[in-house]
Amino acid sequence: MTGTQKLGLDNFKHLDDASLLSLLDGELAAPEQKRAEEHLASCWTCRDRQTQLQGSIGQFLSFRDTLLPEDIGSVPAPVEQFRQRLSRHVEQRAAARSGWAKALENFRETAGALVWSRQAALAAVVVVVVLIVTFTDVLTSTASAETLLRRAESFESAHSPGTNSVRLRSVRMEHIGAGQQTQDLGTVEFARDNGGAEYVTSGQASSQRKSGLLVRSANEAVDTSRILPEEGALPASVEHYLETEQWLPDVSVPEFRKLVAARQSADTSSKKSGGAFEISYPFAPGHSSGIREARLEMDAETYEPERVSIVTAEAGEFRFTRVAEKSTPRTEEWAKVFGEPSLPNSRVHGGQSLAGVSKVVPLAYANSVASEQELAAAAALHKLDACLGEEIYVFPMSDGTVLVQGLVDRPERRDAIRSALRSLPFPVIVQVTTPKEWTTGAALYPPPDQLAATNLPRGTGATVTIADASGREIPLYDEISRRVTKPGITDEELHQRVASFSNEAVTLSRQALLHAWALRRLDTEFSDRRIAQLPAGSRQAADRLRNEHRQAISKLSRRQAELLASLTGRTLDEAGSGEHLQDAEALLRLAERQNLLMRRLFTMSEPVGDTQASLNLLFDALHQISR
Amino acid sequence: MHSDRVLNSAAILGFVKAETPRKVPLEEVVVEAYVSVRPALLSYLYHIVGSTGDAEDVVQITFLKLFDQLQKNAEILELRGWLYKVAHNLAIDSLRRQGREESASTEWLDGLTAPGDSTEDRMIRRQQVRQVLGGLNERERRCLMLRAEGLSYKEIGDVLEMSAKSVSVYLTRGLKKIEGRAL
Repeated sequence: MTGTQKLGLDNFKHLDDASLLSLLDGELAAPEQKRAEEHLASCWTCRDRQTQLQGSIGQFLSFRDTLLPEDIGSVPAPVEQFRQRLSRHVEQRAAARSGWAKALENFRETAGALVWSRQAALAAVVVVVVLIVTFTDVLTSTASAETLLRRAESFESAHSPGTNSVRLRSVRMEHIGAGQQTQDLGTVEFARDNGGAEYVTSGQASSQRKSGLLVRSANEAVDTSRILPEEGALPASVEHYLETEQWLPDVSVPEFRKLVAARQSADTSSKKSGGAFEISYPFAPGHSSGIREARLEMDAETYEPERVSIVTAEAGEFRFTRVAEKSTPRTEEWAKVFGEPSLPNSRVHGGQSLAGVSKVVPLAYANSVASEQELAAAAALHKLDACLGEEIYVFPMSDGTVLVQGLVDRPERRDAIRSALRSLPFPVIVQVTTPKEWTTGAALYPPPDQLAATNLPRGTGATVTIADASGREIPLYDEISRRVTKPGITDEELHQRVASFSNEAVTLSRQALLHAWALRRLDTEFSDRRIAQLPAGSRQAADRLRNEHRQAISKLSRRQAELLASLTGRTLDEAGSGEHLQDAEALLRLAERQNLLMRRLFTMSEPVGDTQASLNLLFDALHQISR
Repeated sequence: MHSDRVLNSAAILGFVKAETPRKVPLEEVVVEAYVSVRPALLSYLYHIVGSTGDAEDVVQITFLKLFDQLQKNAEILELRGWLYKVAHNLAIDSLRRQGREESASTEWLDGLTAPGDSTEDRMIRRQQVRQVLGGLNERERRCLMLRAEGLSYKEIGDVLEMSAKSVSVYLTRGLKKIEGRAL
């Protein structure tokens, strides 16, 4: 107890925010709560502060709710879907609890009848595992195939990639024909992250036809044919079976289990030869796949799977051997590899590639510097005004190439952009299409870095509704009418003129906002750091892009001011003073402000308070951004 | 199969009646739990993953895990905290798998739009939200979101792996930053 508490002086000390909040939240311990309540009862300052805190809580809540989609509360729970998912889950769990796991469970049930605590259960598990290990190790050469497979499984789970690493594995594919001739069928590279996502690429020995690559998340169905040995190498019935079973030529227990899942037989055998165990899973005689048996070889000491063989009835043996394996850090680029679906139509380029895997992915701005090509592509888009709110982005790629990707509304627009980019003096990969043309499954990359934050919706048109059936009008309807009216025109004509005037004002305002947005975007895209290495000419080109946006903003805001002059009685020169704005972020904020005010005054979509005051504020904003 | 303990934890949370006969299969207990806790979890997760579909998926996986846990007869002392913790971690994992790191930035806001908004409304709303929330760091935001879900400081601390005292500090800081910033 402190001196002040002893003297009862606590009541003179104000409560801090954390105590006030904890009190509101019922989180104070009883004695503290009592003291705090007593203090509050006698202190207006703290009571006032507590009310302010409560206000902030209210603000946070309303803000949080604003962010939720409107229908999130009203969409009923997909109960039936969940019920089915749960029952599939239950089945899978039951299937997994076979073999010695079941024996373990039986043991646990018996043991559990005597003692049941977590420690006892753990001890029981340890005992059973020790028993099994000891027992089977004595009889190493006769361990059952299933036991060995489980050992291999344990090995794999103990060596699965950690959260921050990716496991890379190369598998060589070979065909052993009659007379034991070996034919090389190429190599497959697997990359797996700890979430079970898998990235696979295969280089075929004899043909470039399938330089397949695919990414699949755990248990997702994919087109595996791109990874299997090329067409014709495998008998059609085998290929069909492997595709149906979603088998990939990986030397792993899960893939082996897929391989033998539909063999329609329960026989297994195992043998030990040299330093390896070989387990064999025969297929039912006359199996439609034409496969006779599948074998898995594993290291006799570690149980690490080393080779899978598929023995066919007529075409000899297909052998898949693990030739290399390593772990690599899970960099941002790897994260992107696993985050994206496969890109079936994109060409894979050589050059500097990710740790032995040739899939090309967009680089984050933070991890890359701008190339001249990237800048030139951006300039070409700029020339077509494609930087003004269209969802088209220039991606620096991991192999040093440049990808321009995005969706446009009309085929004419698509063609214009494509041809502008194709006329550049170097190759750019262009994936610009209308939404309808976009290939299903192809990766549409999210905008690089924080460009997403400055992403604008497509379309630049803004229409003004000047009146509706209820007779509501835009706030400045009367003032504008007075300005645009002419002797002898009909009401209908006057109405149209007001609409055109308002439309013009809102469109100009929106254009200014789009330019401010593009300017801000350029700051991220071609930041000083990213262009520092470029030749002076390219750096100047980047400055030119910025200046053009600045000039456009200035011009657009001046035109708005002219339109408004007769309504405000002010001209730009006598408006409030303001600093010349260098900072794109500040400029963007002002541009947003003028756009919001403009919408309030010239459309019905925003409530407006004091019309004249809003006009003055708008004018001030325009003045600042026009400089 | 399931014990009284399972039913008791379920009853504590209020999603099964205390007198539920023991014959009800465990699956049904979990389905009921899912239906009653889903709305709250969904809105919390939405703020992390940014889409209703992804949020729903995480909710469902959370309840599959609840099923496993109950089936193992494992004791879950604080079910609400447990559910939020599991769901929170799954959501962060799912972001990472998609290559989206959670950070102090407001990147997570980009997917947030209300249907029926005009394009300009969307832009403006995002900007306003960014201005208000941009100043919050991830911990402040998470603490506020979880407190808004009704979790106690201890439960929040369990989910975010920090002490209840720290939770109170982050909450206070977060609220101070929001002060007077009405939309």
